[in-house]
Amino acid sequence: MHVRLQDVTKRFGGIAANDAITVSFQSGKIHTLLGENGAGKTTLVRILAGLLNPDAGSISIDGHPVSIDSPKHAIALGIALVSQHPMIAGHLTVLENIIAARAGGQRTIIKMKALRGEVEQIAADCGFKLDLDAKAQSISLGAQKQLEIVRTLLSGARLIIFDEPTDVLTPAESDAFFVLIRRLADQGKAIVMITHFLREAIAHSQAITILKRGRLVASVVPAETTPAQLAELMVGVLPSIVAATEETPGRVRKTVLEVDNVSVEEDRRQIVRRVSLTVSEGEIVGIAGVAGNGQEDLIEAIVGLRQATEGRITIDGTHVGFGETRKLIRDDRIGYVPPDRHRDGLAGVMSVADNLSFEVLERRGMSRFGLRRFQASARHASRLIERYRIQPPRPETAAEKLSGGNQQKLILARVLDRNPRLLIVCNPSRGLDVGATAWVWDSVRRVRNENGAVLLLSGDLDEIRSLSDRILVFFRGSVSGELSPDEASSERLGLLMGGAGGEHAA
Amino acid sequence: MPLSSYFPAFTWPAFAGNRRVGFAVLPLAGIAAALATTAILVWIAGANPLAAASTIVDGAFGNTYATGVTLVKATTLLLAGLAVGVAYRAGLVNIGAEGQLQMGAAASAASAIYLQPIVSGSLLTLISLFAGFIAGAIWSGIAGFCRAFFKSNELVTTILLNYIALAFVSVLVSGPMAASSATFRESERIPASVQLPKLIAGIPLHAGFIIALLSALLVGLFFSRTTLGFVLQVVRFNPFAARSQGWSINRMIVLAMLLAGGFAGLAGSVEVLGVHGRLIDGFSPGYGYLAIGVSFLALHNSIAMIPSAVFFGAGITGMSYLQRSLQVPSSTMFAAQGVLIMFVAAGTALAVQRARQSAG
Ligand SMILES: Nc1ncnc2c1ncn2[C@@H]1O[C@H](COP(=O)(O)OP(=O)(O)OP(=O)(O)O)[C@@H](O)[C@H]1O
Ligand SMILES: [Mg+2]
Repeated sequence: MHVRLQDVTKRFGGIAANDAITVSFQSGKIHTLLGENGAGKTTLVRILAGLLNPDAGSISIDGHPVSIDSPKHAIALGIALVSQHPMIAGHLTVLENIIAARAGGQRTIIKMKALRGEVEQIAADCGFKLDLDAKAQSISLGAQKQLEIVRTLLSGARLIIFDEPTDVLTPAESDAFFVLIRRLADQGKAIVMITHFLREAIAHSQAITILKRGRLVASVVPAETTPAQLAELMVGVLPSIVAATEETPGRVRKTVLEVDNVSVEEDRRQIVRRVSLTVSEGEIVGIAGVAGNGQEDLIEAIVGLRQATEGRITIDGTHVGFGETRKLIRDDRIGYVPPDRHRDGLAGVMSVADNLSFEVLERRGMSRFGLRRFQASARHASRLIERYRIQPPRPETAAEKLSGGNQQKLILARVLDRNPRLLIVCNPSRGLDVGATAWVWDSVRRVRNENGAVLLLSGDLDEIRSLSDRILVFFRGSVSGELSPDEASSERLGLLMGGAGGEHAA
Repeated sequence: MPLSSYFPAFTWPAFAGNRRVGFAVLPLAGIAAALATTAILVWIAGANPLAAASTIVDGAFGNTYATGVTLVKATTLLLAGLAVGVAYRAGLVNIGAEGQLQMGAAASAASAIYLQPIVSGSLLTLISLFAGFIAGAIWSGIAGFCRAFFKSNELVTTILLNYIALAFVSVLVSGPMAASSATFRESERIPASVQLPKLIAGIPLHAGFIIALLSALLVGLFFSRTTLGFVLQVVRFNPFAARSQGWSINRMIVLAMLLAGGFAGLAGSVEVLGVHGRLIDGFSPGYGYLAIGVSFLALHNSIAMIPSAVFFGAGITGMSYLQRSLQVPSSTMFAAQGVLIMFVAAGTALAVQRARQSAG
């Protein structure tokens, strides 16, 4: 299969998200698209998947011109897109979600048994252990990705596109993922991948195309390049980085967050087991762990979104409890960036300005007698958009129209801007380009250097290692080890995240 | 994961299409389809659809009196429509405007009749309106409470509550509140001084019309300008985001339902205080159900509900005139109403979906 895009252009209200892009994708190759946030990567693959109509340009498959005017048509042509965010019906089972790929066709009666066999076969071929009868919303993000891969294969796709696939995968899952797509490519599929991890691009692809502000700026052979070179092609020169530590020795640091023997239950099952930890002023404490080991639930308990079944949580010595979240936000005692920005962060149909106002809605100046003050809100939005470089810089845009990375910037902006006493950030750089990542890391370090307390939860070990002053590893609801960043080799972290080895922390 | 029960199956940005359909015309297409179906019904009933059409318009707007009647119907429909729209804009489906309106009417009538020894005149009118609002609010508040704390679907509970309310009013006017001299099931008459004044002499249009217009305006301001209205909309668009901001979804659900039902209660009040002057069994020809159409046709925008309510009001007066003048059976009228609500709701729902899809 040879898919060629010729001078493809797509405009959104005057801005060209794709500007005369010419590129081709071939069987047997893994082709990576790189570019900063908002460069137009997702737009390009959405055009291929029939989700967007290009304004100009043409697409051909094996030399035959095609016009892909619907997702159904794309599937018929053998093109499938695995989006950044799982496109699944959560209340249906895994199997039902997978065979939805077929049920859309002409057949009115679904041969459940035969299809089930086929699905099991594909899953086994890929080395997936999927519970076909589980509700799709109850399985991990990694498993949801597997679900979507099986679905594309069942639909007979020959060009498979992955938009930031490794964001939600654990390091082990990522490794398995790359082995799998290599095999698919060897079997003759064409693979397109979007990523912000430059190392991944170099290690696993045969072609790299770089987009910048909607234009194709470079095509690079992975074997002949370095991450630094790619970064420069994408964003130019990186901003300088705030010193990792600015030690003032001998200072007494007050404890800000104290978690004492806290447990959390869900469905009568203990998902957090008697965890204790502290975070002090001027300190970044990182929590590493495979998603779903209870760390997210502990964090929800800390911010008051979940009831702790036992134990005590204090911030600056005062007890905080379930249901106090809004109060803690209003008093700037906590700032909270939730782990799943797509689900928990934004109201997509509301404007960027509205979304930016969430945290400060009831503040003096932003509202009076329960009435919103739009001018203040607009000023606030413009300031944050400028300061955090949210693109496009238009407060009235619906938040869902922003690129993935810019949505992330929006959420970070409204939290970081408040200078909370305790900053709790989850996966802050997920979906961000190298420049924005450096910048966000910078901001987090600045909070620390200005004597704030930071609790960082991340699935990205590089992020954990480069930011944290101390690292706690979570496994099955408890802390399986505490490390300093120097001790935290990938192997060591990996072992602890899998529940083996390491001394138990207090 | 209880939150998932708040959440639609496909999260944004769901499977988005990209065809440019003139989706704005869909609600109008809905009306057209409804009119066509009505024409067929009329034809089956043995009348000429074209003659019927002009008869309907004549009946609704033919003279100032008819127009007044139409606006009186629109008044009740507008208030009841707000009950549907307010709930909808907080992500809730309120099919219970009919029951809320019945309870509002009962409370309004009861207070206007039994408080006479203590207060009188326009002060009693105000108290009676207030009682109507509160009764409607409590009635839908029950559904909101059940939704928030027992996860029971408000669509179902509001329907069930409708039946209870209707039966309750029937019982009231047959026994406890029945007028001593009455042959119908109705209460004592409310003194003219307590009833809502007429706006223009000789025309049935009453002051409730102003109340309804003001209510629509207030609801519009509530959603566009207040922090509370803003939070309610976040709850609708993404309850997960609302939750992680620490906004209590349960509290918001109860609040939205209380507010919604209050307006339906007012609709009942204006029927009692402005139209009938007493509580009558079966006073509502299904205003609470037509209200669903009123709200959907206006895409739940409270200001757009004003013309929408007039349209539906004209439907009622026009059709009943048709029934009288061309001997079309009343069942035709009810069938036509049902068809209208169905097509309008389908048309607007489709339009909203298309609009979101084409925006990609
Ligand atoms: N449906 C839409 N309506 C309006 N503008 C849009 C829409 N989709 C994308 N855009 C704009 O097009 C530009 C490119 O967006 P796109 O999502 O393709 O970026 P991206 O390269 O995938 O970025 P990221 O790395 O952040 O995911 C952005 O400025 C974005 O705001
Ligand atoms: Mg993207």
